[in-house]
Amino acid sequence: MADALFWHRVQFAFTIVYHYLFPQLTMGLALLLVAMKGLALYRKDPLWGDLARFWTRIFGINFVVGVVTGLPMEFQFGTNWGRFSQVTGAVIGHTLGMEGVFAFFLESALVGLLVFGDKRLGPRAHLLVAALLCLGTWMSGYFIICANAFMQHPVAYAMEASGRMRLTSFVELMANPWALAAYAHNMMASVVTASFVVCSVSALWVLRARHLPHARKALKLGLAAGLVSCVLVAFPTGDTQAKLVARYQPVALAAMEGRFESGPQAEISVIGQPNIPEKRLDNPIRIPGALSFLAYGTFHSDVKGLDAFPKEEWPTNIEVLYYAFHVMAGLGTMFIGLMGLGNLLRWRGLLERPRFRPFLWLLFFAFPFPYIATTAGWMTAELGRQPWLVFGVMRTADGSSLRVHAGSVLFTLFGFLGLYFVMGLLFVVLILREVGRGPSVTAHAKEEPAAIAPDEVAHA
Amino acid sequence: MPEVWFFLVAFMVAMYFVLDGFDLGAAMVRPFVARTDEERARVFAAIGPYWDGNEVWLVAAGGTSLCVFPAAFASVFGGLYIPLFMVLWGLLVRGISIEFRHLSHDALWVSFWDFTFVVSGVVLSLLFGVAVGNLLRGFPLGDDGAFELDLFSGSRPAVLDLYTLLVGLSVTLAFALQGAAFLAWKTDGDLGERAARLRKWLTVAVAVAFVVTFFATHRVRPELGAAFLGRPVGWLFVVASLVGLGLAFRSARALLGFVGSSLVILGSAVSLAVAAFPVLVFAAARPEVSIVASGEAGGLRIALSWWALGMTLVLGYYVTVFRVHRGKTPRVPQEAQDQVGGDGTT
Repeated sequence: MADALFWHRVQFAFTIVYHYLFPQLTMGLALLLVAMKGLALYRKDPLWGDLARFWTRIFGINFVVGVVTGLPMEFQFGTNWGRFSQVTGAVIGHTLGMEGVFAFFLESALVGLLVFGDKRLGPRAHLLVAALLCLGTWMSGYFIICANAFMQHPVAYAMEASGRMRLTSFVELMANPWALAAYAHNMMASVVTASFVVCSVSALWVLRARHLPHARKALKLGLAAGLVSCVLVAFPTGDTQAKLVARYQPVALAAMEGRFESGPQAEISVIGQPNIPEKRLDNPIRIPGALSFLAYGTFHSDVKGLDAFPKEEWPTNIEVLYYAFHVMAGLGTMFIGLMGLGNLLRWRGLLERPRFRPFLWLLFFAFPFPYIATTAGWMTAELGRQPWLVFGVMRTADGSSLRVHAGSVLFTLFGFLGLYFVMGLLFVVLILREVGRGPSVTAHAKEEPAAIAPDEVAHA
Repeated sequence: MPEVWFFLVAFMVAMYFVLDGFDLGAAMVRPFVARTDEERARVFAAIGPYWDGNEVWLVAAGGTSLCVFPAAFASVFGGLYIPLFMVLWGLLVRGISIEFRHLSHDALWVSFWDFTFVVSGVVLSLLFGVAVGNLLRGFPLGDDGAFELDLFSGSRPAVLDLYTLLVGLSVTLAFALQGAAFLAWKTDGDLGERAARLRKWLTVAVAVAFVVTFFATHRVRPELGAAFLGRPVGWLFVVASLVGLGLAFRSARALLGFVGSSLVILGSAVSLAVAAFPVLVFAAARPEVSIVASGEAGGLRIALSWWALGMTLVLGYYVTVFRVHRGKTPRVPQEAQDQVGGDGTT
């Protein structure tokens, strides 16, 4: 049984991490697409229109992979986490059901119109489609974060005699303070990812001296959106999130920081290796008082360490949790610096100077890091929640399906590994092809009436 | 309230079968109706605007059943673990087949996705039918509400046995009919005519398969028929199904043919729900531990309010999408097919 539990967790972790590589781009990119299309319409600038079309193609490919990898997520609630579904279904089922009924239907109806309704609908209606699609993807995000927030900080439920939960307040479930904070934090991270990807592709174009007018425009938008979102992801959204963890999951906070002993003036360790057997952090470099400030707003507040909690309540994988949190926070800090510098250089007109070419290289190579930071952030949230499936209420070990054994789970896990590997390769090939083509080709094709036709096939 | 939800969830699943049925069916009949490159591309173009929304019915039905029938959701999905993942993989392959195919016009690339599209269509249709067969036959449910079932087995009932494969075949034929009827309606020229001819033949095949399945079901679970006879409201849906068969066979108007085949699927799915009511998960050996739709209203009333609002919106989306794409699917120009790069995927 313990074996099966491990593989249930591995499969869910793998499929959710892989899945979320795609929506994190599409949600942020949807917002940037609205901006591009809006600029094209109101500034009457065809360059923005070209860019919008180019990024719509990237959006379309990401969207499809997001859709097909999203399907297994909901169904794994039943296949792998049957007891969890039985106990909590009457509560979190509301958010999952609403995600389907309100967000997915809307998105599926609109994405086709966005990808190929350009000429058929006219610019205004097409901008409206992009805006509604953006709304759909962002709604989807809220519903699913509400489900997760319930697991992190259960609210609005009552336990019945049957051992199953009952929903006591719909409003309370949907307005879970954890959901509001996590949503704001997560959506800003999604804009960070999209901004970095836009900047990276544009930096590549500048480095190769191709599509320069387009690249300059895109950099302007990408750097601006990047800076704003990078700042917002840290403050106030990340900060609020940290305070909620301190308040509701103090044991997770202690593990995230590798803090073994309670006490005032808690420090943040910038670097260091958690040594669980010895209950200490090896080779730490610390900022005194910073954790107290982060968690409670004053430098001398008392912050509990792991010693304040019985060992069976400690997160089960403190090392990975610790690194996940530090990778996220470290990268997030660097992102602000990178985007700040980028905007400064652009504002001073120095971006394309030969001596600042290394910066463009940096920008180009930066695109994987928001994905890493976001994944690390979610690992922090999910590993910090352990050993609970629903924090304080239901242990992870009590949530898996009763009669699904490790052999079955490994079978499906291998299936996913194979399928996702092949699909990932195809995805990369397709994206590279689009990036190589760039935006101006589309602008050229626009002038040929025949080129409208494949729209009929080209549908996402 | 759970009683109402029984039929609402059944309705969502039936709608999924009707709507994704035509996508999967179009995939299955494609080798028979589309002979040229252009026709093959046109089959994809015909279902292109719809398949994603159609698939959402399954996702929405899943999320909704987690909400309103968590015990049944957990029991069936855990028990049908491996076949369910095969469905998920099939849906994954089907989705990327449709959406990746048009991204390059390389002949090898296109032919690969043509192949995976057809295979996933057949496998998914068969598995959905097998799932229906399993739900009808029932499961070896334990006191804990969970069960294990072999994928196949020589003698004992299994996920895939003679009975469930028979239901699988019936559903596969019904989806093929639905696909042919859809293509007959939404395409013209040789493609549309072949689809219309195939629709007639498939109607006959579906009628035969349904009759055989009816008697087999009566042998496997006799009490279903008895329960059904006591619920005259269900007869209406059988009549709808029969009218549908007639329309699919005879109607000269392509749209009516499609309405007919949709009625066949919707009518038979709802009839089955009426017969099975209120049992969600039937425990074959010990009917007393079956999972039934009954009990407290609780959050179900809240769910009904968002569901009703959501479904109204969904109706609006469908009207919009079908209106935007009204008429026959335009021909896919072949010179554009041959171009490589920058060819206006808009």
